[in-house]
Amino acid sequence: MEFSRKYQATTKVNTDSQSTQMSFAPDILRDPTFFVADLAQHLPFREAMSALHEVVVSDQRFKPKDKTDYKTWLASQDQVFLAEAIGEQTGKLEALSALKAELETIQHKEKMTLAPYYHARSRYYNYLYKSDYDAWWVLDPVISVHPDTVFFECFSQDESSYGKLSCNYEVFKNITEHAYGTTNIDYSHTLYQEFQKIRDYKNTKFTIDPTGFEVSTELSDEFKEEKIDLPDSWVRGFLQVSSAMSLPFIQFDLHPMDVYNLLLTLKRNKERTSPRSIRFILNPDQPVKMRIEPWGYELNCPRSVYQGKQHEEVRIWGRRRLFILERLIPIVKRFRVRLLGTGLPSFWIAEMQDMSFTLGLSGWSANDFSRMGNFDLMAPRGEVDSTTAETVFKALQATWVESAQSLAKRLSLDELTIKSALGIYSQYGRVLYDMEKDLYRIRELSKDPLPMNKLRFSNQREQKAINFIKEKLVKITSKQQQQKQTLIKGNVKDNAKRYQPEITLDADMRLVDAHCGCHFYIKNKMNQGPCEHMLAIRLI
Amino acid sequence: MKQVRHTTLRFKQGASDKVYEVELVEIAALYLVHFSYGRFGATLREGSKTKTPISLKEATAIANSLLVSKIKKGYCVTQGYDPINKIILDKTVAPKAVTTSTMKIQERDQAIVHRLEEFSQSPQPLIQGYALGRTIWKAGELRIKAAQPAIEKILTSSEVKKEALTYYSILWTLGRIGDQKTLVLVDKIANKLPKKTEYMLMEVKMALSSNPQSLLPEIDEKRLAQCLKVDSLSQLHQEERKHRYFQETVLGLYWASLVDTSLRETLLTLVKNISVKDPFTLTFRRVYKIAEFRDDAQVLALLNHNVETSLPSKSNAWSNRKKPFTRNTKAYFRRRLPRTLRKIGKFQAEDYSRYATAVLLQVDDKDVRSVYSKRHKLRYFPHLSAVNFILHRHSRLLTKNHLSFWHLKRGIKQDIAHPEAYPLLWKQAAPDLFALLLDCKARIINDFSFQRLNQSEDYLTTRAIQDWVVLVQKPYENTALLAVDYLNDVLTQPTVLKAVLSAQFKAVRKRALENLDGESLGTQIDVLAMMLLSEYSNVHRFAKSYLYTAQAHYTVLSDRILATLLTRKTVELMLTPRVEWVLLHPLKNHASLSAIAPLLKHPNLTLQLLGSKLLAVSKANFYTLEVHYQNMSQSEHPEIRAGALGLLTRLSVDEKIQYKSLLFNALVDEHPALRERSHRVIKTIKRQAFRKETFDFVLPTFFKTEPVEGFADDMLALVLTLKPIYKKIDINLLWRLLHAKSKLAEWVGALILPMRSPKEFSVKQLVFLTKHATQGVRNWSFSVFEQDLSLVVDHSPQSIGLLDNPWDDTRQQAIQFFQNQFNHHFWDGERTLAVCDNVYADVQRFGRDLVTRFFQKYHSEAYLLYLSQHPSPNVQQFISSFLSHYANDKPDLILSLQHYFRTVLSQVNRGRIVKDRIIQFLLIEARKNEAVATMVATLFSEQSISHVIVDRMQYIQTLFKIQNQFRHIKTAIKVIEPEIRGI
Repeated sequence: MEFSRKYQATTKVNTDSQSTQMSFAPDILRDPTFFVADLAQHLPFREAMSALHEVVVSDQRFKPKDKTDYKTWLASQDQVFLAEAIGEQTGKLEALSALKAELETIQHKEKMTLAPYYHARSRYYNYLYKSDYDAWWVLDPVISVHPDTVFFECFSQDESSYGKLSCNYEVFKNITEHAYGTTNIDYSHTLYQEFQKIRDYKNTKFTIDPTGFEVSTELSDEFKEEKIDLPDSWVRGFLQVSSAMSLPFIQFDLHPMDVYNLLLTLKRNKERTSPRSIRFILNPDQPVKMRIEPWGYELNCPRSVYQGKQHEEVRIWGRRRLFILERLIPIVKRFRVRLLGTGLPSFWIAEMQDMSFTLGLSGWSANDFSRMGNFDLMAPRGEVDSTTAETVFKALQATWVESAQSLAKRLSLDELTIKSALGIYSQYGRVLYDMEKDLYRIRELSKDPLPMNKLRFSNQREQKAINFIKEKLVKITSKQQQQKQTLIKGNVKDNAKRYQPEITLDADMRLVDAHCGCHFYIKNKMNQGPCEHMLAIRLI
Repeated sequence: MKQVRHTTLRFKQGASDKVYEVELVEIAALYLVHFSYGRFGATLREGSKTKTPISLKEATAIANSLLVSKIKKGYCVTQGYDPINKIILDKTVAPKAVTTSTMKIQERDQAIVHRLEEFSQSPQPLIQGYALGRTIWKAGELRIKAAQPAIEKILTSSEVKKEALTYYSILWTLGRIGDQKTLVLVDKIANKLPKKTEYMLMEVKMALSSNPQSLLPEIDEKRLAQCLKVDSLSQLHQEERKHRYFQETVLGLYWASLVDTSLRETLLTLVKNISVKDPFTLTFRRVYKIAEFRDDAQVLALLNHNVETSLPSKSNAWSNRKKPFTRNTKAYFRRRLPRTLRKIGKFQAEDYSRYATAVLLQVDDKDVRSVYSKRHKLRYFPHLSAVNFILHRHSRLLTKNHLSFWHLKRGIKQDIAHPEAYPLLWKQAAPDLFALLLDCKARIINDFSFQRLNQSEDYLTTRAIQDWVVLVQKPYENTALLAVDYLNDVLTQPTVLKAVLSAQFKAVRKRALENLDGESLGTQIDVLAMMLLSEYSNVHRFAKSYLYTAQAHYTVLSDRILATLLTRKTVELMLTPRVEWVLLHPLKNHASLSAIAPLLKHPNLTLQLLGSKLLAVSKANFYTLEVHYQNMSQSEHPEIRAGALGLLTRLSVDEKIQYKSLLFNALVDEHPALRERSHRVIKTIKRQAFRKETFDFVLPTFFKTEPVEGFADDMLALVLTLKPIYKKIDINLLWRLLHAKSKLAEWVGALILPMRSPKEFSVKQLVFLTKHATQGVRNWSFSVFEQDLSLVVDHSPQSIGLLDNPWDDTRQQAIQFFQNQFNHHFWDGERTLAVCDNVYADVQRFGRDLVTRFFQKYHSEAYLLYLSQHPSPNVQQFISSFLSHYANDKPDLILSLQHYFRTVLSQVNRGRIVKDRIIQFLLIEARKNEAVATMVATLFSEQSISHVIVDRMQYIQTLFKIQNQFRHIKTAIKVIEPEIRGI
């Protein structure tokens, strides 16, 4: 999906030993959004922004080790090893060592001869790395200026983590200019480095530059235009987070030191087998318990008591993403954790003075938000006609931010209708549900409407699977626990024919094996992913 | 057991050499007959004709019958009993090579005539197993004139039952015998022939008629022209089904070529076009039959080649109608010509080499179905059945499979000396072999004829020079070397010399060069020109080394070379850079304008370019060349237009400026030649105003994407020549250039910058320039600070930014600079802190060094307060060492460092030392001051649930001590009194 962005010049930072001026270049193709103020809470803001940066650059996808060099070396050594293995006689070994020495000399000479070339090449790569460093991440953060808060949102490279930093106006002082709205800002690695220089003894001016919108002539070298081809999955993930936020959840608080202890355990141990989950054991009025698998370490959180009314046990995966929160521990008052369920997204809200940082994590780090099993997040909830939905949306547009109750009162509508209507708009990326304050906010993710049909499902099979469930055509016949795996059998009635898919999930709830009698499976096996019947029994 | 009689027979014909032995053996007064046979010299296969011993009489009869039978087949008795002559040969008699004896032929002809006589007298359908039609046909095939009366009798006899095919055989045979008197007979049977054989009737009439011209049908010239085009065959395709125009044209031309031999070449071209497939199959068959009738080897060879290189038609399973030329038909035709060749070799030996030559000339190395064997260095043609029959009939190396496709046998390295069919016949066929050598297109054919001709020296000496001139240029080294041997005496003749010098093989050309007197080349301009244009290095080098001998004729030579170039078709291939070099260097300015002019008008761009280059080096003034300039500047080729621009250098400066717009447009053109020529002209105009104008014109292109590769380099080269105006370029424009997104603009800025005064920039700008992506810019701006240290001192808040540089080299340079150039007078607290605040680890280290080197006690508090906010763990650890000395007993300072303490203690699994330092420090300080104790109590209470045992222990200890000392401070410690247990 292609997004056009146009920035007047690039984001500029002027630093000297007394002051720092940060001027963010907003996307001038969008409605004018700007904000000019001085920073009042320097260090917490720096740390929170650094955490946000961690989200932007986070990429927990598995990267296989590059063994090319080793293999090349091994291939060259093959003959040597062989000769050593069979060279029993001393004479041969002596001859071999002489040859080896000669070879080493030659290799050394070769190295010396080629050294200038390698040196130049490495310098060239370094140059490329520096001069084009920002091309490493193209996913500029989104910034919104609202009547009560300014918030930054970003999404990780692996599409599995979402970060949102909300700053109340108390974080700033001397606010001179502002215009409400949402825009993308030109973000760069240099900017991150400049954030690190924020000190409370230096005056820091924070500007979302308003001048870009006033320039009428467009000099060719003054504007930075980007056409960003964002993956569908990225946009889908972003929308699913918004949607997931408004789902029912299990909530509890954690003391910062609980998170500290959790991270400590993860840092001190390396998991080599699955499951790699955290199991939250929540008993009413009891301290929260976290069991860290596969080692079975149990962390008790004596200062964090679960306030819920019934026992819950929820597992989440992709726990190493929680290291994003490390820098926030010294400044945070408490972490508010919201779990949607086992294998489902979780939200970690770090509450600070006048600021809050929300970290949204998908069920697994490999299974990002947009992947299988999460698309039901995009399903429409509640029945609202389009006129009502539009009325509600327009009402919210007038105030920018408002609670569902307030809107219900103002529009004389049922609160559920308001929530359903705004739920639809949050799926469209136009409204954001503020978890911390239980408010709905206007936040247009893009300047043009997003193609929802394209975004909801990543393929047709997912859509079909959902339809089977909707029509109640799916039935689970057995669920067997076999060692660490779960075998689920079921039947799905499709086109007057009954299919009997079987799926095997491992301890990390990953699909490890599956069978079905349908044409798709017979033709492709699992090479194209699971068929709609397997998806259906997995989802039910 | 006793051997009574042993007879050896031997058969030798061509490559065949075999023996047959018959043995009579006595066992207890009874006898056995054994035999053995096989190739001469090889192990013989043995057998017996008697199962049990028999009487002598019986055994002798069996043995004799065997001998007679073998002798009848052509074997000769070499040793033992000869039953024909009834003699016993004691000594081995050398076998005679069996050839078809005249006597045998006569016997065979007589037998046929006799059989025909018998047919004319009785109504029998078969005599001795032979049918009437077949016998008549055989008589025609062998052209037996003696059979003519018998055939006449058969025609007149009412007893003989004659079918349509019998009449057709009679017609064919009469035509083959060729007696003009029989034309009457032909007319008589004309109405009894089937309609489809009318073409053969016409052919026979043409053969027998005394005035064949009168019989010729008319040929439509237009249609003939259409038939000769291969492309138009598809158009003829539909027409042919209805009207048979193509057939009419081909047959008409075939007959006409009998009368007018000049039509033969046209006919052969047409025959090549005859497809064997529908709807041309009928035409093909008819022409094939006529060619067989006439013994027309060339046409037969062409048609056979068409058959062997065409794929059979695919039959449709759903259609009953079979398409002509099925797989079986093709297989039949592939067998037919070898069979014909075998018959010719046997019965018409004098025609064999003629037929074989025609077939072999069809072979071409370019044939995609040919196969190359690297091992045998041999390219062979598995699909050409007749060719392989001729070349490899007796081969040990190549053999054919059941589908008659030829392949190499495994394990055989070398072939026998004469693997061809009828090797004896080739011995008498030197002219045909020579024809093969002249016209062959395949190496295998060349080598075949070369090997056999090599022994016919007498014949070769009679060959004309022209033939050897052709052969010396052949792509086969053996033939070319043979030819040059025969041309040795006439190498001085210009025609021969040219031919030998253009031979493909170095050894051949070397022979000519060895015999060539270089000094004489000065008088042989033609030869010299040819040699200079030669594509072969040794020839060209030789000519170049003797070029001086033609100094007096340089103009003639240049013009001759140019004229030759104009006549060549493949100019690109030949006009190698060395010819161009000769024309533009030793022969520079010698070519006449009249010779150059045609080059410029030639459609070939290479020649136009050469013309343009020759004009560029000519000494003529612009006005003499103006006509050419006008033409060249209108050319569609940018290279030629660039040549025209180059001519402008001959003008004065004022005149050049008149062509300003032309030059400017060429300067930014996408074609490199135009840019380069324009640049060359502009470089010669040394006027400031013009330079400024040039710069202003090209300026916008600096900010745009490079339109073509090389454009940026050209622009940079141009900007370098505009150096005198660097100082006049607006400083804001320079700044814009330096910071443009376009790399070209950046580089142009980097070129201009060193010519400007640093004073034109503020310190902030200069610092900014030290972070520029271009190294030259960084070096220049850095050198400004190096040369004027006061800039650093006076503007230290900005100049310390030199250290904040993303480029490793410049950053290191900056560290070195600050380290060496400034002492403690410069490094006050604020500046030191500014260095420490940096994000780069090496600069931070430098900052820490500065703090330790120039530490002033009165700065300590500031260092602690300011550096404690640094996010780097290294800096955090660094300042922790200050705590115990400079923060002790300073409760306010300690309280203001709260964030630092909290940050360090919250680090997960790292900062052991700094954590210990802080905990120890806080423990001590907490006990001194209540406010500090309160802060520590809060902090440690929070931290006390840490799972790091060593930390937790210290936290609890500290809290316990605080709680004991300051009772009213609440901590997380709850003292549980130990349970008192009863004794």
